[in-house]
Amino acid sequence: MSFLSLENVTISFGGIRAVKNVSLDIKEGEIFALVGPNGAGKSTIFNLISRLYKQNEGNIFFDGKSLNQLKPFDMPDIGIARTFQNIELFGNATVLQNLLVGTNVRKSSNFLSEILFTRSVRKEEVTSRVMVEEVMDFLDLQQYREKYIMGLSYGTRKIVELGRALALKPKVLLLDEPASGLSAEETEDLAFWIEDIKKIMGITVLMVEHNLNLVNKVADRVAALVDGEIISVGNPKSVQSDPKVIEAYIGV
Amino acid sequence: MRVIFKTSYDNDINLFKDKIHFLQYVFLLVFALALPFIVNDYYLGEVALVLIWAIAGMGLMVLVGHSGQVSLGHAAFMAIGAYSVVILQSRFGLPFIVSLPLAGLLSSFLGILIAVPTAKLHGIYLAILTLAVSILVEDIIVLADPLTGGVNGIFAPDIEIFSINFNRYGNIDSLYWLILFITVVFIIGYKNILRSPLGRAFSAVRDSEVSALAMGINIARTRTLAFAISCFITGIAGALFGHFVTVFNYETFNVVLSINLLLMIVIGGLGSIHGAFFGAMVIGFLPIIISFCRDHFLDDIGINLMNFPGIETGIFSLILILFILFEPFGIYGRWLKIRTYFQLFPLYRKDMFKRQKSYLKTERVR
Ligand SMILES: Nc1ncnc2c1ncn2[C@@H]1O[C@H](COP(=O)(O)OP(=O)(O)OP(=O)(O)O)[C@@H](O)[C@H]1O
Ligand SMILES: [Mg+2]
Repeated sequence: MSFLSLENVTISFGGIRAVKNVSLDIKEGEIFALVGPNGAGKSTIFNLISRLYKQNEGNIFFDGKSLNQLKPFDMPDIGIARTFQNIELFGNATVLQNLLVGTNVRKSSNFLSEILFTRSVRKEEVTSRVMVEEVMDFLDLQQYREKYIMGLSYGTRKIVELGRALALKPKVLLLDEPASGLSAEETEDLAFWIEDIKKIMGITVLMVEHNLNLVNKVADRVAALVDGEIISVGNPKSVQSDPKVIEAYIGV
Repeated sequence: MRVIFKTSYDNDINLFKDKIHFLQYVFLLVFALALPFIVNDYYLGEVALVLIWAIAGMGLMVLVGHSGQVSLGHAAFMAIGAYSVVILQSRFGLPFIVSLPLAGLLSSFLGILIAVPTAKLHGIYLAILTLAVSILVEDIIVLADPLTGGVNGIFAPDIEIFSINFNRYGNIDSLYWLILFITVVFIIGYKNILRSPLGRAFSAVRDSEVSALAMGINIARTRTLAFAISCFITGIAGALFGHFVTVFNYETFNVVLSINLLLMIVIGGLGSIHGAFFGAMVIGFLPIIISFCRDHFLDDIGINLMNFPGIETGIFSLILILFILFEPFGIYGRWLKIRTYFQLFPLYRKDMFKRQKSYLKTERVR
């Protein structure tokens, strides 16, 4: 059964067709990596799935439903979470507060009960906190709990962003270059975490990544994207030995 | 140095970190309650006014400091509050206790009217638009002469609650206590917002819209809600202000007031309730300090401030410039540093509060 799928999706910005007739089929429970040179359209595909962009042609389905009519802020509700290539955290808040934002989607209180801070709001806050602490335990973020994002290193911020996405308890996680800017050590941790996200949490992962070591280590399947077109799909080995992919990487 | 032992998540949720923290505020409240017995009526009036500024400041702080939307027209919402509360009482015969919240709601309603179509406007554009709205409101007040008294202005009746009379000149003590009570209520409400999902949604929208979206936050709704809450608080501040000054006209709520409100929260420290109060103290006590200086030593050295009209605004602006250059986090930011210095003495490091260079949005390569 296809879980997350793109069918002949095309988008143009002015004259540039950034994504051309792309079809992808991501299965539930797999780790799927998108690779390709700069400007290939990888982030654009992420923005299409998370509805920040609307495709000109084609359809996107998730869990049997079309995403075409949905808004970006509907994504967490249906189970899609993402990170950004250029880290988009809430900079004037602490790590804890950033992660807690992820629990907002599950709240049942309205703004009046929150202003009065009723008993049920407090109860929900404690539940949210317990959940967020689990995510922090998982990613080893406890030491940064009360730290402001602005004072954190780049690598830590990337992990915080991953944690914030996990706090949404998604079914599928879109990671845009999770390892860029990470040290070798941090990248190694990341590989374990991504595998655990799949195995222990049962979350499907779609990631864009330039670091082929990481891709080889964790990805079940890979798609190579060049100039907005998918030129090869398959397991990591076969894609990397595909003559078309080699040509695209060396030739361009 | 005080170490706080946390034993449950409630420790982080509670309004007060621990007993000492709680007692500090109890002490402050007792002091505030006892103030009428300590200072004379003139100074009590000034303190009451500072509290009103602080409420207005909290209103603007919700919008600017927490949801990241700049308003240069908040005097208009004070005006709506002030005129509504008076008209509701004198024309519609409603009691104060009903008119006050209604005045807040009316102001809130105007805020929503502005917020809905402008949900996509940012920074300078929103600031200019709110500025235009406040000029428009000024004009409407003049035009609505039969209701508002036009250029002549309007008289606020004495506040009556259950036949207790609150009059600035008759019994400033009770008026002060009333204002203090409302201030405390708003502080608690504001604190509650900050520790609940709503407050997180506000700062999410402020810090990164695109990831707020990705976290499932409906940006237009959140911004509108921020406007509604902000204008409610500011409207109430306006209503209290109207009763405090007892007579006012359209000019009372002009653009200078809007700008002063904004300067106030920037000087006080954006993004904190303390900031609104520190800013209100500056705006409220500065004229007193200036006149004190005038009376006590400037005259002696031959400087006559009467020759400098607008000296208060000038000094105020100077303070603002100094703060923006040297302490962007306002008085509250400076206060935090001083407090940390003493708490950690002698371990304080000079660059403790130095923040790692963070990328500005415009610097990022997309
Ligand atoms: N909002 C936009 N407006 C105009 N052009 C855009 C927009 N978003 C993406 N593009 C264009 O689409 C193309 C693909 O961009 P995209 O960001 O998807 O590349 P990428 O594969 O993620 O590259 P990188 O590895 O550098 O992140 C680029 O030519 C880019 O200029
Ligand atoms: Mg990209």
